[in-house]
Amino acid sequence: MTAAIILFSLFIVLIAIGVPIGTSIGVASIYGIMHYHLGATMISRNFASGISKFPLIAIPFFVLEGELLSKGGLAKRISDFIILLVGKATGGLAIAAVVTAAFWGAISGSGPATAAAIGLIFIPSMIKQGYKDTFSAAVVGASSGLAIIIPPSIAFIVYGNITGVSVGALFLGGIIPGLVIVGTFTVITYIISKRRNYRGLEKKGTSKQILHAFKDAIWAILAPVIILGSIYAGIATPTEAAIISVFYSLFVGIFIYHSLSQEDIFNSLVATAITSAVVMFVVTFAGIFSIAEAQLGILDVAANGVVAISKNPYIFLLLVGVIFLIAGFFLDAISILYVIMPIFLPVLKIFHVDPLFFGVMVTVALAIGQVTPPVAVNLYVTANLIKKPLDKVANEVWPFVIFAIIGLLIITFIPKLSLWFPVSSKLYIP
Amino acid sequence: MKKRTIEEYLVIIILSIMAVLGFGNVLSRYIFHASFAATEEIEINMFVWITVLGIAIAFEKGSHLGMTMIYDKFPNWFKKVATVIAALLAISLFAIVDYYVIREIYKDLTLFHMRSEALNIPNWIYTIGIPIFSIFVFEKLISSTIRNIKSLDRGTK
Repeated sequence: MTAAIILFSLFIVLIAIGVPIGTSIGVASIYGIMHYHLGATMISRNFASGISKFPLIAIPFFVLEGELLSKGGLAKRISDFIILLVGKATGGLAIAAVVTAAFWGAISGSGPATAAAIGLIFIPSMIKQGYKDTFSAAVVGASSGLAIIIPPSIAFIVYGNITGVSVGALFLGGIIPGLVIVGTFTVITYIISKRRNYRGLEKKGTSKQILHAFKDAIWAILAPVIILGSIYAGIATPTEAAIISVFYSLFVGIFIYHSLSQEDIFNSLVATAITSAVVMFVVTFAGIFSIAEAQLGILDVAANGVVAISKNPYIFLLLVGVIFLIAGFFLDAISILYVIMPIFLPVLKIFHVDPLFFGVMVTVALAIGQVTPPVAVNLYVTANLIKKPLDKVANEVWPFVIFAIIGLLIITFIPKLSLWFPVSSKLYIP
Repeated sequence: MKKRTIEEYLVIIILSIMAVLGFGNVLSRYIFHASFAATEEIEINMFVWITVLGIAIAFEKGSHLGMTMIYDKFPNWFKKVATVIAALLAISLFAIVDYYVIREIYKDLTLFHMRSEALNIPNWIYTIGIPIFSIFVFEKLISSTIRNIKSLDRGTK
């Protein structure tokens, strides 16, 4: 027990004084290994082997795909099409931002990248339309948080890596829950817009215009269809789908839209290396941390504690939801998956909770944590775009958080929402 | 064209090779029904390399995940102390990793002569990338810490 307290407090103190999460978790785990003599050679072996796994290579490739399509101007084309479809409704532009963010989430696996791509397009035009700037930033920030539920998703790749659940099945499992959250966000956006009198756009798109915009955006719309379609049909693994999507976006950017220069491609490669390394820095050291946790017997003690609280699966799931929501307020999704999630894995069988469903549910809870301050990576991005402090944007984000929690409850109590797609594709047998 | 640093060129080259190998693999599997899956081994080890390089660039650009809520409330002198602590910890972290990797490589060269599973290449060719590319991590950590301390100094005046 003392080992647990030392390890966790070291980790938390370091994060509190502003040390990056990767460094903090690395230092805490190496301290644990050295102090308790768990065998220091495992540091070098696990540093490399924590990264060099084929399923994890999907992370840089999905990030690269998003970078290339965004530099190729495809986010703008999708948003033009969606604005024509829903722009006329009350709060039309804000609703279009929610839908576009969800769509971009199906192209990019990362929340902050989605917030940047969608924010640049929507926030200026929303402000011009009379929306409050902080509300605009909150809408884009919150709905970009969806990116980690809607496949492809870095969180699912990491969850699959920890638990051995098929990443392809997890991707399919995220589709309907992602749409549930899109639905709750659309409702709250509409309610707020109605109350504040945010009107829709004056002109309505004619069917000819809509068809034209659709043709213009078709190559972007096809990207998620190819990725998820090939996984659903069992043709490609997620890593293969990621690689195919990279070359698809190169083809579209270079030969169809002629919008991708060599400089763009180089910049995309560098940006990808950074984004993927930021994730992998945490993945590899958090992996070592969780091994130390297991060897020190911390996991067993914590798991027994969880079982002792209640034998009721619904109380267990509610407890998990609350713990992950709170943890998500302070920590990033990846380190929570490594540090806290393994506590619950061994007891899933006792409560008859399906591990794939559990992964989707946990990811939704974590996604909510990523848009709630103090650690709200997506809101940081959009707050920077409007040059306002984070807490001003945070005030506007609470209604979205509440509606997302309602969505989380729906997803938690109807496991079929997460399981239907993967089971029907025969990629997963519960 | 923008001037690029060595580590940027390295990630551009290595990531491109990874993508081409991966795509070649997919093509060969579907079109020629022959797999050169052995190249997976090169891809996953290159992934380790670009991760180390990417960690270095992210230190330079300050893109690593972290919580600044409490840090922002600190007085300036404490911010400086915390910045230096963070850098020293990260340097020790990679120094420890490098130390054990190099020890492993030494044992490999003198004793075990371990070879990779798929391509039968000496293992140290892959692992040596970690200490070599960590040099960039150390360099970026030191230069960015000096820069951050200087800008904190300017902030007080």
